[in-house]
Amino acid sequence: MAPNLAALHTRNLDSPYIILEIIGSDEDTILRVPVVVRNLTAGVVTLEAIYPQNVAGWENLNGYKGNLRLRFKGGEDPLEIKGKLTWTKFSGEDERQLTLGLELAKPTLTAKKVLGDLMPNTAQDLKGLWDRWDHAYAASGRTGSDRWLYLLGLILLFGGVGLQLGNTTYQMLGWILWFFGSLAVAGKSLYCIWQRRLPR
Amino acid sequence: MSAEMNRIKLWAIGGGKGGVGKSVVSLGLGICLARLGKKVILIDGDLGGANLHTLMGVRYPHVTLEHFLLKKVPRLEDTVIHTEVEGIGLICGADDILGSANPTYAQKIRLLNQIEELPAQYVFLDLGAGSSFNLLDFFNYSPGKIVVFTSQATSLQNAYGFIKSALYRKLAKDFTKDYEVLDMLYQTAGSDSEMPMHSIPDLLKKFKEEAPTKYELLCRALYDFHLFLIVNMVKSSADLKSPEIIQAVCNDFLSIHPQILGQLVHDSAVEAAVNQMVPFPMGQKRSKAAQALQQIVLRIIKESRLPKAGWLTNREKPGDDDLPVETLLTQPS
Repeated sequence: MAPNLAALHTRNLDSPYIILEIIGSDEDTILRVPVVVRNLTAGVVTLEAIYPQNVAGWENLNGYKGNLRLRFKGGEDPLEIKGKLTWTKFSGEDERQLTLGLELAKPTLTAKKVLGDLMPNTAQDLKGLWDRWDHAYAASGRTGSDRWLYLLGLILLFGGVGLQLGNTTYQMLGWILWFFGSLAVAGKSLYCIWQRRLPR
Repeated sequence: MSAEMNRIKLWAIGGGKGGVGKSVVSLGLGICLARLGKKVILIDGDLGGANLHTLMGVRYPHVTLEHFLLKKVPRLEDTVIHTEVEGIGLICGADDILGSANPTYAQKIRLLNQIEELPAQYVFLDLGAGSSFNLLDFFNYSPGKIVVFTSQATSLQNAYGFIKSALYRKLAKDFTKDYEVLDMLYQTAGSDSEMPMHSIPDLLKKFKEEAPTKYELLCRALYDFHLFLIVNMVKSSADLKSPEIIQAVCNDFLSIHPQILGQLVHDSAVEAAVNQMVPFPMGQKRSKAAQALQQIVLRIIKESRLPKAGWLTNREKPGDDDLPVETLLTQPS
């Protein structure tokens, strides 16, 4: 079976093996497709199949779950990135290149960085800029969850105090809520202070 | 002239992207400096898209930069419009009708020479959007270089692109006859992964080992390219990360170390002032943006007077009326 040479040429000696596992609707059928990374946007990675002829029924794969499995040559732990196929198409000269769009499901910073590193001919400085941007954006996303934790802590705290003052039957429950609410607020505050003290 | 006797007079304000607030920042800095008793001239360097005069409430300027470029007036000083803000003179930008957006080399030299002669302690050159060669040349010529951007992804990308373009333009001019350096410089600017060098640090490393003289010259050229960052329209604490991102990328890939001058919070008072054609921050001393501008201005005064080797060009002798830096930094805003 002839491989897609253009896709193979984007790989170098250190490139990991990347297999896209397309999971069928019955969850038991798994189609394994060796691919290379062609493009990466904020949420979608464009992949190109190395052996496009092997991908039977490619036109019906939209919406299927797809897991990217990266196996590194240096013996590092393999990486799995989950997603969903959003489009597939044949393109290029004589329509021989099969490209697939995989929408990533909440990719981690490491996953984004690894995929970014696999992009051919990427300006390193721009990559550095976006890696840092992703990092800052992820940190700001965390502040949203921080706020919810504080809010939950305060609700527990005031709920507990309310129960203690209002109803003698639920005094014990009031103590428990009061205790865990205070613990959540104090613990989160201390964690934030500790994080700020860490060197960048 | 010794380094101690010099100070920065001309400050260029660029940023690559349009709509990030370069003109409002230029105007705000000018007004804050004028309040401290400094003589300031603002030049609308947005040739082809001038509107700094509108921000100052001047609807129909009777004389613009175009008059100077087309030699209808002999001196640049003759194009200065006195405004309602005491201490600030304004040189309005030109429209592109007569090709003013693309001045010839001779026009550029005449303009830059006469900027030096302007009767002011601080001259702010508000540059337009983009990174055309003319714009980069004006930016590079100015000893004070300020890049204004917002925390939007596109603005950040354009600001970095602008800084990189300006630096490569400067290095290409500094090493114009050294084809070896130029060739390697172009390699570092590209994105070909098969090339051995991808950044200025790669180039420095190579020269340090193989050509120490060129290494020294390159280090000097990079040191000369000192710039300052202002992030505008800050809306959240996450936005404060954006100048740090630019700083880090410039450090890692361009071997330059921009300094953060300050952050301006998003302030609806600015929009209101623009629409009412009232110069911001006139009458807005209490707004957060106005207070931040005040802090930035104090840093500019300090930076403009601190001697730095390599910044010896285009400075003027400080006047006797200048306050010591320490006094200025402790003045209440």
